[in-house]
Amino acid sequence: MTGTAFESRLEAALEELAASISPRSSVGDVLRPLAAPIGAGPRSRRRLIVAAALVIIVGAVAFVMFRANPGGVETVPPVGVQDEAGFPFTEPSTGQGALASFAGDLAIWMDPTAADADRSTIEAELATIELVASWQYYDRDEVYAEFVELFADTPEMLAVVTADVLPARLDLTVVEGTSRDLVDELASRFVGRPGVRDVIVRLDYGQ
Amino acid sequence: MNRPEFGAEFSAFYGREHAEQVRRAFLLVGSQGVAEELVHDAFVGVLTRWAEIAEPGAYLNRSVVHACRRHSRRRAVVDVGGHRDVRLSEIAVESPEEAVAVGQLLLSLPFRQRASIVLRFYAHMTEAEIADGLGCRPGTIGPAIHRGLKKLRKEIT
Repeated sequence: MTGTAFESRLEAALEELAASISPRSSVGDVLRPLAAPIGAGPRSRRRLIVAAALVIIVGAVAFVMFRANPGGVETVPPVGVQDEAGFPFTEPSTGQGALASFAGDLAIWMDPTAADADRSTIEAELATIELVASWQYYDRDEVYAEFVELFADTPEMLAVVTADVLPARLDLTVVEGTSRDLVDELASRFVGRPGVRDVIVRLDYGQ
Repeated sequence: MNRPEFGAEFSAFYGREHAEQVRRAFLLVGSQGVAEELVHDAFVGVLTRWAEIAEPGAYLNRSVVHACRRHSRRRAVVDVGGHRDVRLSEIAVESPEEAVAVGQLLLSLPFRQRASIVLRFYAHMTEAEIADGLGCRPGTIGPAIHRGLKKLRKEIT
């Protein structure tokens, strides 16, 4: 057989193999981690969650990603950085770190400019909502510490993101067995409140 | 560049490149789930350096190839998000026998040979482009392709 004929067969085989998969774009699986709470997944995903929040908060980019958005998730792509040696692959987390063990059901991201009173109002209200089992407030220093931990191997990111751009966050856990609909309803209750930038529900909640 | 332009440009770039990069990475690492993770991370890298990258396509190629090489070296365990993974070594059902054999043989080649072959015969890149993607001298690509082809030809008759 000539080299050319063999190469043609090779090309056909590679084409066949490549066509056997249907790449999933961001909207489904890739965006999924963005809606998961901090600590729910491997480190790379936790980085994406924090970074996605950065995009929302810093307002760096707010783009609409291709295609439909079946999950109704905020269509903001993640931001992260490669390390200097080149490359962005990160190992799954071993779950170390102050916030790693927390797995809340929804997160209320505050505005960087939110007043103390805004937080107090929200917390007072949370205390009256039966389906909220618990919540934890992370102030801006804590969120920044978490950010530093997650991006410890990415000095470029640490160099450009300073504590003053990161907002505080409330992580909520709902009573076990609460339906997805009720959790969504709970989330929507806080959207648009003074001092609230965004509310994110864990996408796989209730599944 | 203002922000809306940046967003639109990046979105268009993603739309153009994403699926092909995943397919390419799939041929290099043998798992769709891993390929998607690696490509995703490479896009994240491009996104954060969008303003400073002159040729995002070339940068993305390098990032993806490098990530695949790292993965191949480390054989790291990667969380593929809970969905069913598709593996090159297990897709026998619909594909012709020869394609399956090629896929399995590819994974047995050293990374540089495998990548050179995939980039040449699947992505139809020039030797200079392949060398750029692999971060090596262009002169080394021809011999790598030659050696890889020789092994494949030996097994597939």
